[in-house]
Amino acid sequence: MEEFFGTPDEPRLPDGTGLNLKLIETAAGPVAGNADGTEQGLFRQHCAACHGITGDGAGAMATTFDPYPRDFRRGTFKYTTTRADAKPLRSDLRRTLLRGIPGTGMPSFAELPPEQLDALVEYVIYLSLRGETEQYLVQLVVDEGEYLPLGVDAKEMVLEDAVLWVAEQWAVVEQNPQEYVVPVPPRPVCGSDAERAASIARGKELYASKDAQCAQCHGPTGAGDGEDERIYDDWNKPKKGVTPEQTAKLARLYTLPLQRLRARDFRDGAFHGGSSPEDLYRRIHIGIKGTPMPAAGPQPGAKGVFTPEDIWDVVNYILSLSGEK
Amino acid sequence: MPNRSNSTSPIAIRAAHYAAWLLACATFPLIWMGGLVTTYSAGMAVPDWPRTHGDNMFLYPLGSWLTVWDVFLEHGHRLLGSLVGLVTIALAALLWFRDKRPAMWWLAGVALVGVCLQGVLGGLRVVGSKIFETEIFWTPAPVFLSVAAALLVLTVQAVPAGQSGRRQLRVWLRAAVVSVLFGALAWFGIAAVEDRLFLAKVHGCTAPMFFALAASAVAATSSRWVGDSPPTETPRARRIQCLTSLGAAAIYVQIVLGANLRHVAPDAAPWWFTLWVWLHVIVACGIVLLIVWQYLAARRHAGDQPVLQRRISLMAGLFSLQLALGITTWITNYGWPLWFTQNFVAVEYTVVAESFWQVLSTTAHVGVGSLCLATATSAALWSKRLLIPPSKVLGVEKDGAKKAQATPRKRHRK
Ligand code: HEC
Ligand code: HEC
Repeated sequence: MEEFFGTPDEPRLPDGTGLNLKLIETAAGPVAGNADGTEQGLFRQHCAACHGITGDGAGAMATTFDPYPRDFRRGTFKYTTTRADAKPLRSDLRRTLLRGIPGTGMPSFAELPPEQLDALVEYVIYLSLRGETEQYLVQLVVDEGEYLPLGVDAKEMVLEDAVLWVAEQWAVVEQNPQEYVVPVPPRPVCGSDAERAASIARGKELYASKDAQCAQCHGPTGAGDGEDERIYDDWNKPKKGVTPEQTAKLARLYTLPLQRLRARDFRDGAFHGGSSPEDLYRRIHIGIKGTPMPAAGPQPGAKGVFTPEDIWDVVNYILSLSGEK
Repeated sequence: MPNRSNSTSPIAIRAAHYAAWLLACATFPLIWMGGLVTTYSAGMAVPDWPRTHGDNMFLYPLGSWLTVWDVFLEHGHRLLGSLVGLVTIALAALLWFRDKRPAMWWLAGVALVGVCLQGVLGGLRVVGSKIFETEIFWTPAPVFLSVAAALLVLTVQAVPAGQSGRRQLRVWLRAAVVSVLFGALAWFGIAAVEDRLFLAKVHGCTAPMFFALAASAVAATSSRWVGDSPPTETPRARRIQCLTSLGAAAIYVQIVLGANLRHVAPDAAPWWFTLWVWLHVIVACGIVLLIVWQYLAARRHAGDQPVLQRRISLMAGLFSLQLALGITTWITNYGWPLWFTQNFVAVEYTVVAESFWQVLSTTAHVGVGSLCLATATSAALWSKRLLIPPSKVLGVEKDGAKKAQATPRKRHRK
């Protein structure tokens, strides 16, 4: 690992990842200031207490939060504008940093200068790339019986199949946004109250429909009290055994205890991925990656349960629940 | 109580009183500024010490100081700290040479040692493990020499006059050994601790202690204290004294817990933070109980001592403010807790890092915290000065002052 990525104090990058090492270096390492007012060690200064120095989401304050701070090592991000199967854009991560995630511990860093945000975004990608490579390595050792330290061939394989492959996933999204970013058609204008009421009624019906299953998790009235109470996100699923004893046994392997995921209560209007109608449209279309919250919109090769018009109706319905328009 | 003003020059005491006020008034903003430095993580904006970006600290160009916010904070904190050091020296000199009460010599000595230590701690917190490579390993030598000299004077002052020359010499020698040992111990103790976060915590915990010391000096040099205002005789004196001292101690414990919350190592196991949070909350509840109790007790049994009552009421007020600030600090840093938004009122709220309200509430929580400690210390001291159990008054009448002071304390220890 160190050979590819260096240490948290001295990050390194293999060639061909397309990441900007200069930005990463400002975000890495211990905190320090320079005489010209620029700063070093941004990640440790602003993020590591929650997200951990290696971005494993188990920083010193992690247990205080529900949901836990994100573990970047899976390379999955919840609030994106890109398709359910794609990596986020840099601008998605940047938006998350700018506005924070309302209703969670993730703060907004709108007060930081833009260069620092860029450096932090780049560093998050670096940590995530590093994390995914690490997972691949563990699999290699456990499943294929490779021994550490790796031989030259195996190293080549790790570089090709993990580092560069994952880096490619990030790069393609950035290069062909038109292919990966989910388009948001303009919201149909509801001229009169009657039209709006009709749209909300349609949305309510769609929401309750068998195909969509929204109510299963979010409850019949959108209060977040659906039948499916025991849901977990991808970061917590591995901690869950079939029996309670198994779960207790697994708990020893993880720093943070198992944490249940709650489906959103729509009534309080605190939407984590943004509360504008367009944000909600994207959430329903794309789903929330890494959680059971499904993608309801049409995906390449699949029709999806909702058409874009349906989604707008559901958005209107959900907004009506939180008392907004 | 014997009339103390006879034994100490009144003008010098006045001067010491003003110096103590000056010290307290300079220390308070210093603590706020230190709090800001931590809130903005600006401590490392000036990564060298005792120099500022390679310049002599006192000659650092004004332009570079005032233009970058983090540098402004950290460098300003250092300058203000130096000022506090100077005032401390003045106060210590006044107390040593003009105040005849040994307790005040000790106070002066501890304040001087404290301010030196605090300065060095602050510096080490910045320079951290680079300590042996930098000049700072060598520059504080004069500081320790002066501390040693101070201790020397302190001890020698305590030598009763009229002793034989031989005995005097022995005292001098002992004093010299003690001060050299102290200097060496302190120096190597600090040099051994290279953990910056630990140093930051100690630095953050020494500051309120020092502030409380300044407040004590203010109390003990006031004309009411040294004058002969009569103490109130009450059977509850001991209890109220206990309660006020306990209150001050609990507030200090709370400050130490707070420092641990503020300086968590990012790689610490997560349950540490949870532990500190819970302890902080539990001790806060304990302090509320103590304050209510001593407030009621003082009203009932020390009704004729407005000086004491005012301090206790002030502390109750400050502590209420401190509770409100604590809750605000939590919300502006970590958001509304889930149990609250789900069961009571749903609030849409996004934490904004380094936002105005976050910085203000967090730093105010630190500042008002040390103000609480200073007030509690003052209340504890005044309760010792102004309340007296009935037996003690009897003692004064029968056997004179000396025995009266010794007996109750012995009984108390048992
Ligand atoms: C006070 C704790 C805290 C701090 C400080 C913090 N985060 Fe977070 N962060 C969180 C939590 C909690 C989440 C998970 C929210 C969720 O799952 O809904 C999160 C999620 C994220 C995500 C994932 C967003 C997504 O779309 O899935 C990113 C990226 C992120 N944080 C980056 C950062 C960066 C960069 C910093 C430092 C500038 C930082 N965070 C500082 C608590 C924090
Ligand atoms: C399997 C359970 C499940 C189903 C089915 C489901 N959701 Fe969700 N939904 C969730 C969970 C869990 C979250 C919260 C995820 C998180 O906070 O990480 C969520 C969050 C949301 C949010 C909030 C997004 C935000 O930015 O805060 C909306 C809106 C939403 N769901 C709408 C829907 C709609 C519409 C449907 C039906 C098409 C639906 N959900 C179906 C589990 C589900």
